[in-house]
Amino acid sequence: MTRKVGEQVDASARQVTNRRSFLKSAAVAGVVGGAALVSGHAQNSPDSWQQATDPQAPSGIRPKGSLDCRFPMTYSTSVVESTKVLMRYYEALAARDPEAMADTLHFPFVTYEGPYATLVESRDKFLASPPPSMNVTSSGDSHIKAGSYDMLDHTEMLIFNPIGVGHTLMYNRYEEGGERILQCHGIYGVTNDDGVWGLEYLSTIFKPANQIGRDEYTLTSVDEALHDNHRDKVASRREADLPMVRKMVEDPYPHGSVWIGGSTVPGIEGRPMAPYKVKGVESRLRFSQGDTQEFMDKQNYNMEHFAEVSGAGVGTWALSVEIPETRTLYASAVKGHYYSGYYRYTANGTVISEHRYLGAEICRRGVWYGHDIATTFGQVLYHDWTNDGAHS
Amino acid sequence: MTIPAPEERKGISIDRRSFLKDAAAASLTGVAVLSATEARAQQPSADSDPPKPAGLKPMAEFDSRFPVAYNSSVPESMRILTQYFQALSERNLDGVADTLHYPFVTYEGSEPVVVESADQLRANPPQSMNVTAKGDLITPGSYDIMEGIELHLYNPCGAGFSLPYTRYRADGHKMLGCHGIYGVTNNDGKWGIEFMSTIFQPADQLSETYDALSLVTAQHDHWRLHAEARLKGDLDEARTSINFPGKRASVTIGGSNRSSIPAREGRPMEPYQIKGVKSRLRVSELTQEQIDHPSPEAMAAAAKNQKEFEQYSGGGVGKWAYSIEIPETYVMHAANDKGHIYTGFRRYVANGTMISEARFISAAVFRKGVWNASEITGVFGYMMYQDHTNDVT
Repeated sequence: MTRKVGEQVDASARQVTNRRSFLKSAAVAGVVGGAALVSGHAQNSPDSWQQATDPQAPSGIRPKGSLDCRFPMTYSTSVVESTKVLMRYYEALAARDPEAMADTLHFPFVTYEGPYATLVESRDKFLASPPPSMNVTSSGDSHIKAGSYDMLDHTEMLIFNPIGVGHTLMYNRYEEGGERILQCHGIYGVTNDDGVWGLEYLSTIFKPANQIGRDEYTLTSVDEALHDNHRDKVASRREADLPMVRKMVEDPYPHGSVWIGGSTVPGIEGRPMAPYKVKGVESRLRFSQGDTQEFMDKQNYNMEHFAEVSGAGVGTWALSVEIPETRTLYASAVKGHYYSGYYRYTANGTVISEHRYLGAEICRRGVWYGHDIATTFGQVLYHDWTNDGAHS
Repeated sequence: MTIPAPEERKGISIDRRSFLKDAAAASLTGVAVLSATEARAQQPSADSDPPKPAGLKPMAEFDSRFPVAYNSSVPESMRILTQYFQALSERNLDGVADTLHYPFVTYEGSEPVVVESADQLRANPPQSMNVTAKGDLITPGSYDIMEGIELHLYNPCGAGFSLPYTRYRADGHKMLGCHGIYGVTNNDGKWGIEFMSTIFQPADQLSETYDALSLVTAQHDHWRLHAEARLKGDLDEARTSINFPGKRASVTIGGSNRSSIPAREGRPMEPYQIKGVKSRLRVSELTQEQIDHPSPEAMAAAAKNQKEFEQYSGGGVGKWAYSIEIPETYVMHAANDKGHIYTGFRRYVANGTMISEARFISAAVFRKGVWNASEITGVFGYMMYQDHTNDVT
């Protein structure tokens, strides 16, 4: 008798549920974000996978440990389902078919149009007033020249867990005679909300054809901004400098993030699957019209317990450093798409955990905004050393 | 509501010029001509041959503008690849076996290893896939975490990916990184992996790039020599610039020469047949003697190939004048005995008008001081990305 893929994985699965607290948190996030969210889901299509059940905890998560990417459930279904949505979205865009595009979207969703975060609350709003990057109607602001066509260049799946997957997708746009006129690089965050997979986070960078490949300056700028912001935020954490943490997190312009877990806190509390609820989840989007001073003054970012809870089951947090895989994926003068993350360490250099995310680094009035919170899709807890047992 | 154009509702094929004309007109009124929903409804089942899409011009090759190039093949091949990785990470050889075509090729180090059957795989798995605890690459208790998956190529019968992963000791210590390229194909209705190559490196060497520059330079040198030989009709140079002694294996999914001739002869979908296809793998072996002193038959084949190239490579655009690698060419990963490359070429007429663009991925091996990097060794592809014939005729 042959063994099928995944056969042993769920044999001793156990369920850990705390839906009430998760939904409460999600609701709070929406309120704090300042947006009145009207929910709606991507449309079910004949081959769309429905899974309105919460993922079960796999065997192998240690006490105080969290779900990380060693467990096949983080990719076995989510990667394929999100790819289907991504392909359907792109096909609809290429066909200039707004209805079919809308079928692939969660509502609300956020799209970064150039440096501007745009919240689209409903299907009706999308169809009536589509953002420029998604406007296939030939009326209103659009990046689509009449008669043009698109060709998919490549995609990259970079972060994944049971409820969300972060992809990039690049396409080239050609005018009717076959000359390339634009290239578009996009980040696409696909999530499973209440059993339906759909796009909840988008960011696009369009480049004229004769500027493709001329990235030496913009890539460097985004790389430096990304590193500087990370360095200063970590330094403020290490020094317990709350005003500086606030300064590093603050973004006075409209911004949105889609959260798909990544925290080690629920794991420490014995609820490792709490961040991965699906059933009843209406939105994972946190959108703000811009952080006010009054709002920022109320935030404490768990400063008092940060070092303790960030140590998971390994030890006490002392330092974070970006992952060496950090890279700017694509860049323009005012925005970059990045793939980044961080390792957490104890003082003696023991690794605690590794986290990854995708995001848009945005330049407004000479200041680069973007770090692990405000403009991201993620985070994914890639590796939690608590599960390796040597420390727990 | 999306209203398809009358031609589409009737399922009547229309040429691209009239399609675009209609599209432009339709877009003015906010009505899309070819809805994505309808395009999906026209998708063939997995075991039937992809139909010729509306808009494909006379003499033109099928290219990536047509949704059937990706709308089913990309999710299906992604499904196979994630299943493969899951089975590998679970150390489940049966699960691995279920995701493969037979025969398939895996480049283990610098040598292509052809596995003919599932039984052969179970009895003697290649090192990179040996999950039996008896191999050298997988330490008992170790576990793997996937880094990501990149889609590089796609058409109705195949898709090419890279998938890097990291291997950890049971205590969480990072041991190895593996960069793999994978060619997934649809043969007779079944999707499976038919081509793969893996590069393993110790954890503390994962970001080294010592060999990448020499590989990309060698790749370019071979390109230049071959393109020049084509232009001059130099059969010897055309042959020797891309042939190397030793065993080689490639998986062909259409594109470029394989699809140019059928397209010019009015059979553009022939390279993308699925039904009844048993294998797309091509394995051959050459000696230095055969390269230095080709047989009369080999020279006759080279002459025939050159004649066909001159006749067909210009498509419906004009007379082929030269080819250059695509500027997106890059070394994905390289070690001292092998590199993984993403590359392709654009063909041009003398006035600079592009004829077509083809892309592929390959495993370029380093043997006896020479990078075996060419368009026919260790290749998964090609994908005909753009045939300009579809735009200009």
